[in-house]
Amino acid sequence: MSVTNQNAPQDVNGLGPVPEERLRVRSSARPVWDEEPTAAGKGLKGLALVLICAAVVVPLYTVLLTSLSTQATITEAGGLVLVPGELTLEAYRQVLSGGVVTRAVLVSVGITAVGTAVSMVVSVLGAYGLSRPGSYGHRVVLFTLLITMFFGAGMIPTYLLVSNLGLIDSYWSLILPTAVSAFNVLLLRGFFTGIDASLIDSARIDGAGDWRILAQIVLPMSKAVTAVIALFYAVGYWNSFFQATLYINDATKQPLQVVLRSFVLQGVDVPGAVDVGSGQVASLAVQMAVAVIAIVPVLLVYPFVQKHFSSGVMIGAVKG
Amino acid sequence: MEQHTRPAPAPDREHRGGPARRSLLGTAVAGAALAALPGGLAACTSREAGAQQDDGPLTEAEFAAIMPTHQPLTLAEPDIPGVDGSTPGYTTLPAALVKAVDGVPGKGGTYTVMSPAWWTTPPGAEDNAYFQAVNEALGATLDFQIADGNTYADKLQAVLASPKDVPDWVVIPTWNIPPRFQQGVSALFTDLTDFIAGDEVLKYPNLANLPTDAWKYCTFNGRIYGLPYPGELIGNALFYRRDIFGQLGLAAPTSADELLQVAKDATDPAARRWGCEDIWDGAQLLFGCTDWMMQDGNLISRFESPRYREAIEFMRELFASGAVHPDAVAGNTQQAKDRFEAGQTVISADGLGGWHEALTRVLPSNPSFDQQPMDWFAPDGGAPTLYKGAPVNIFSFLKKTDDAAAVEEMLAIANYIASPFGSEEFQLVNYGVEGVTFERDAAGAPALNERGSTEVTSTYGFLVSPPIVNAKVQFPQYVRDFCDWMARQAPHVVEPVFYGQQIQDPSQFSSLGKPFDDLAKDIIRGRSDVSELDAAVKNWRSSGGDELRAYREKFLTGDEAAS
Amino acid sequence: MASGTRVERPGERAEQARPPRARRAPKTRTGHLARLRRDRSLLLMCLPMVVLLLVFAYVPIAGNVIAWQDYSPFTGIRASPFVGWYNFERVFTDPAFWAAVRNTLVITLFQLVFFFPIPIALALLLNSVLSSRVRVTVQSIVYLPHFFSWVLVVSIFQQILGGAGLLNRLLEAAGFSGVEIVTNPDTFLFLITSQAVWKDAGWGIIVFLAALAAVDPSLYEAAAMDGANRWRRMWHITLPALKPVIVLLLILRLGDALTVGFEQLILQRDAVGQGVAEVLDTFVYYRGVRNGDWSYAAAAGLVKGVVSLVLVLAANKVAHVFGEQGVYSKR
Repeated sequence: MSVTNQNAPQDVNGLGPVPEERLRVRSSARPVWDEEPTAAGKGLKGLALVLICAAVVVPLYTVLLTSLSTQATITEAGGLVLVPGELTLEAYRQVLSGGVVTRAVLVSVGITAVGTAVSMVVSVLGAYGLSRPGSYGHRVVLFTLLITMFFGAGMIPTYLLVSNLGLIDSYWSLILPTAVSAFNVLLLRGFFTGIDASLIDSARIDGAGDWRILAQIVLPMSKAVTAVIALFYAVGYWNSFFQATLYINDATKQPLQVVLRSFVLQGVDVPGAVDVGSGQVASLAVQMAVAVIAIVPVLLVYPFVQKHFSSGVMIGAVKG
Repeated sequence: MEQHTRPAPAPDREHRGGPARRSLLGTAVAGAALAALPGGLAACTSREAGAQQDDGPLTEAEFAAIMPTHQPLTLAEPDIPGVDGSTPGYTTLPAALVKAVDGVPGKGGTYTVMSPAWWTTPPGAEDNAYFQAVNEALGATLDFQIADGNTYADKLQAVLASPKDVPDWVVIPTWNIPPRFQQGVSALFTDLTDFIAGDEVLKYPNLANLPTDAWKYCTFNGRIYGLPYPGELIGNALFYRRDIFGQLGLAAPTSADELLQVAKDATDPAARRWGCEDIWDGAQLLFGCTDWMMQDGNLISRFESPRYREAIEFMRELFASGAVHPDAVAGNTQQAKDRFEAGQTVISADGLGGWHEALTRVLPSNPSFDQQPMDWFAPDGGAPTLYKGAPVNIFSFLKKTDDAAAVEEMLAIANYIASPFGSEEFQLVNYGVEGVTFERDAAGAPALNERGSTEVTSTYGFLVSPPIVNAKVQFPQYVRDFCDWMARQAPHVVEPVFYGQQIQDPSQFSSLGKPFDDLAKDIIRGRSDVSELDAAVKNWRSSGGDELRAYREKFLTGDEAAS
Repeated sequence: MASGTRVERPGERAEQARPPRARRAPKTRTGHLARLRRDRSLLLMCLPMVVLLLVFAYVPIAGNVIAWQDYSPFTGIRASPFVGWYNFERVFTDPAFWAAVRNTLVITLFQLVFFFPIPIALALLLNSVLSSRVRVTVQSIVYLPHFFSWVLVVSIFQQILGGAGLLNRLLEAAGFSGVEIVTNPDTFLFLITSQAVWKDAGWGIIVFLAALAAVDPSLYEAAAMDGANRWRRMWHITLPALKPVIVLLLILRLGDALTVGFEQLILQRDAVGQGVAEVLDTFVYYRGVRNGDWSYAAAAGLVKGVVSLVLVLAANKVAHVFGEQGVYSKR
């Protein structure tokens, strides 16, 4: 199984290589059984994709451009910059100098990595544990899980719990309270229950226990969804901000989002005549640079998730 | 809820060297009891708590018994003296700085301090030359827990609900005072009265320099708990772009009608310029609204006042005229400063603290940028009615402790930090160390260098601050503009009804005003009619407004009722 | 590895020829014990999750008891007085609460129709693109706005559609009169929904792409051989493959019916007025949280939780009627 899993990353359709001569007459990736779409259909699809991408790219571009613009250019534009003027890396220099951001990146990477690992182990086990129809007690556990989606706890009880567990100023305070997301577990479980039962049953006939079935059948067949859920968890940890402001007092332990927020905060009004008297003052460029910096790690990680989306590889492999 | 795990005794601070007045056992037991008992219970049994808040204001005699002696201290004569309580200004540094504090205030103690920040997270103490230098001068270690200013109110409520997590020294801005704070203050924080009442304060000359009004405002449950960061006589202004007004041939308005007119005249959407931002806060000041007012001998709330209605009507006309920037109409306040500084709008309402920040931000790229506050005027063009700002902007509190030596050490530290302008201490607290965190400009004025601009913050200053002066010597013209403006406004300042009283309304009334915020915005933007105010006022009165008024009337003193 | 999980499972899965879902365990006491023995590894797998939930979700959830108290953080739960159903009465007798519920439900319904299907359609569109380079490129662009804060998204929309924005400047330059979009309460639903679509639709497709990745391509081939055209293949193979996920997400979305973009709405509240922008969460925020009226906030939160739970269970029942598994299987 594991051998076939790794084959044919390019072979999107699981049909083996397309004969060379076909490539010249038909679109390279089109399987032999697929009919050629009409020109109008192709055109419409292309147009739709271009429009969708433009709707996203243009605002992204203005954000990036603003982060690279001088204060004069921004003042001229009176907001986000559309037409490039004088460019500068000053905003990035301002954010990244001093080492505070660098340290915070390390903290955030650590929390995200450990937190995602913890969450995934717990969630995959839990989702599989709940995914076998008719198993003992699964309804009670499922209900226990479901309730947590709808009944939240107030900020103060949660703080008191974290404090009484001695987790104030511990990185675990940013991981354990959010380690299980009912939504993610239910989604995983949904995929696990959708796996062809005959595969699991035949493994069981071969004497496989649940641990082995999970490790050798369910997980390999669920790489895409596992990757997605891991991404969801990772993004959750990466973006979490409020918890850190509550539970982390030590400035050197603050994660990236808290530090980045502090750059944006500079523009915030303090009531009355309090002069917050800080040497630097936020500019729109800095705010946009912060938005860009927050996205970069996601850009780095996403391709690793995305490669699991090529359809068909897993099932075809298992069946083959 | 609080005790899922057995609460540990409050962490005992490391020994501070000074004579410990209480036995170690006593301190530990008190700490454990404090951690175990929910705050309110402790408050009920607290013997120190004097007059209860609900009994109304302290009498002058009661105040006299607890107020610190006021002993003004001026180390450097201001270049622009204060008039009628207006802010004095310094345009130059004094020739020589003096030492305001003898010896080292600290005794080697270490104290945790929780403080909000509206600036970039500074490097931690081990990489922070500023923290190191100030702590060394203090002879004690202030270990800062710097929290995001925007979510500080939340953090405070959580931490104060968990007494064992309360740091040794807590900064609480007046606008972040948690609801029902009066219930918690006596149990959580140290009563400072006996340390500073009367002539006791003379041990701390820089604290004795703080105005009595500020100390009165620091009084909770009849005792002094807070250390003040004093407020300014006037906190807000309507600002205009004098440079653009000049180009357009406009003059600063002197009546509500003129204000409307210049806003309209300055508006030219084709040139991407609009008259003003959403100046609703400024308009309420312009029309003389404040939370409670006396009218014909009766106490009325802002919402009942005809001035409030007039302010709304004025704003409605302003919005209808098209002079308000569309993004401001759309409620985008976070970019208001960007728009104003870019000249897309030319009138804006802001706190005075924003003025200097705007100059720092804009002058480097636009040297002709000229932001000025308008002289306040009455709507009809007559003399304005301005309400005196709260005497304190920010408090700090010491965690409840029986360790008198620790309290005295922290007060000595506060005394150091409160050193006024013209002292070496002021320079250290505000700029750090020359050559490390600041350099001198051509005129000899200190200016933060790159390192200083990431490390030097108002963190120490938030603990306690000398009486407000404007000492931005790097911007002498700004200091002159600021202080002259303030001096011109000062004669028109009156005290609002409950001036300087520390009053917390019962929490069931706390959301009564919210419907008015919404309704005012709806009326101003033309979504509702002005007549709907009547129904809202009626609803306000029946759903608690009248009860709130009755509660508030207990705090009226004789002369207010007469005015 | 579990050693005792061999063959002797009563009513076990594979021995019988009938489909596993129809399996039924004997409902006797010994059956309980036997099932417990049989499924102990499954229960063991659930254990870490259950422990985390009990400690970090249920313990603080118990703090909701303050809904029946006049709670003050300074007094603590133990000493705060109980006030019966007073806080719930305050919630239910306030017309503003019901107005907020109504606004919330209107927004939810609108977004169920105009937002929910969009990621599905996008995923299908992407799935139909043959060139993997185009597909990968589009995918890795459209999800990015998810990582922008609402503050940024709202101000981007203002810069484009606002009264001083790009659109109006173009219109005015062309001699037309401007259009009022961002401050118009009548079109507010469209505005917030398009913001939500812009921000999150690209991100939302990820789950569906994962579901599509599980489709066996040989099914398509077989269907094509049987003469099914592109649309029939989508109808008979792709959509059924997505259906369980769609149903699951739909049910969970219904459970969230009373939750709509808090930050997004607070930011635009002044622009259109609370008449349309006040939703349940903002209402509770202004009435409870911001004033430290924790008991009120807890009461409103409990009401919301009960309603959500009922909605999910009802939706799940409906799903069962249609032969879908939903969130929660029948047994």
